[in-house]
Amino acid sequence: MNCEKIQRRFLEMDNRSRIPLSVQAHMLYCSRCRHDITLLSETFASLRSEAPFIMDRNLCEKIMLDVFLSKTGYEHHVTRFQWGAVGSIILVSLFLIPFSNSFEWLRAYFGAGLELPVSIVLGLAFSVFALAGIFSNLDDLKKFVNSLPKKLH
Amino acid sequence: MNNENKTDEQIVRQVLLGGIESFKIIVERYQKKIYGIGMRFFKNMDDSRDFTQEVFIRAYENLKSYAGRAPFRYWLSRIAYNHGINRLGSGRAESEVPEEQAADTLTPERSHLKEEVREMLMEAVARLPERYRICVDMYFFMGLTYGEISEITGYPVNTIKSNVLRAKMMLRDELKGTIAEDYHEL
Repeated sequence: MNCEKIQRRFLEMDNRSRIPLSVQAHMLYCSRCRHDITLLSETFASLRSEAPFIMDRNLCEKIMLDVFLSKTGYEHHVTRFQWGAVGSIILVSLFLIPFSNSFEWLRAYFGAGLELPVSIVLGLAFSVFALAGIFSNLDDLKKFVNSLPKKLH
Repeated sequence: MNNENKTDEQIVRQVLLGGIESFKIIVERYQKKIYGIGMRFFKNMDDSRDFTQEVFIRAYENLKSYAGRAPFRYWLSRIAYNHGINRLGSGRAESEVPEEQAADTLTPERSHLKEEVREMLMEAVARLPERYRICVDMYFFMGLTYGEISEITGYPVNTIKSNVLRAKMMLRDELKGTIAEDYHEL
């Protein structure tokens, strides 16, 4: 296959595709094509970090200001229902522990005195969860507390 | 991992989890390219700047609809192209303005070389039919495939392919005996 055909085959390649085997084989023994194809590959690759027109000012700050002012937000928000549901499950589980045999194997080692430290640890875990829930919904909670006198009236 | 080294898709996931400031990386990566698409549509710097801003805001507001199946740059290009068509359809002014000049942060040799190659390509692209120039830009500067460009613009794959091939051949011929070749030989 002559050089022109090989170069055309290379130029017909799509983005994100591999150099055809026939082109690679030709490049092994044709130094001219090897030089031209390497130069073209580098040129095309360098264009990917370029743009067709040059901007005289950076729009980044302006765009980010619009983004922050946008009504669309992507905060990872856990709803009050989710907080409540998970909290209830933890609380109910806490009370059910003495009636379950989940810690049977621990009881075998530590005896009856285990229940108190386990309850303290689980109580602390629940307190941390409750605090996280309260602080995540502090604004809502404030509104609720403020509207409470009106509701009671 | 440093934010700058992350892929577009990783950054999008970060934004969707609340890291809105990460969107800045996306803007920095693509603002010039989107501005380029704007220049193809409006041939006007002010309109292209407004267009760039609007495209990024649209992209941000619709980020949840990006499913991650295709590369992010394809999704962004599609938003830009559709917005360009709609904006042009709404009858905004169009006027011929020469392209802007800006300082480059590369070394003088590299900068000059890149500038020369870019200008060569722009000259080659200028010889193509006007409506296909944006396809060639998307191929070279956005790194999109023929199929992706066809899906965005609605032009047949073979038409895009032949226009890109023409641009590539012109660029190859232009490159011979230029500083780009000399630089490569060093």
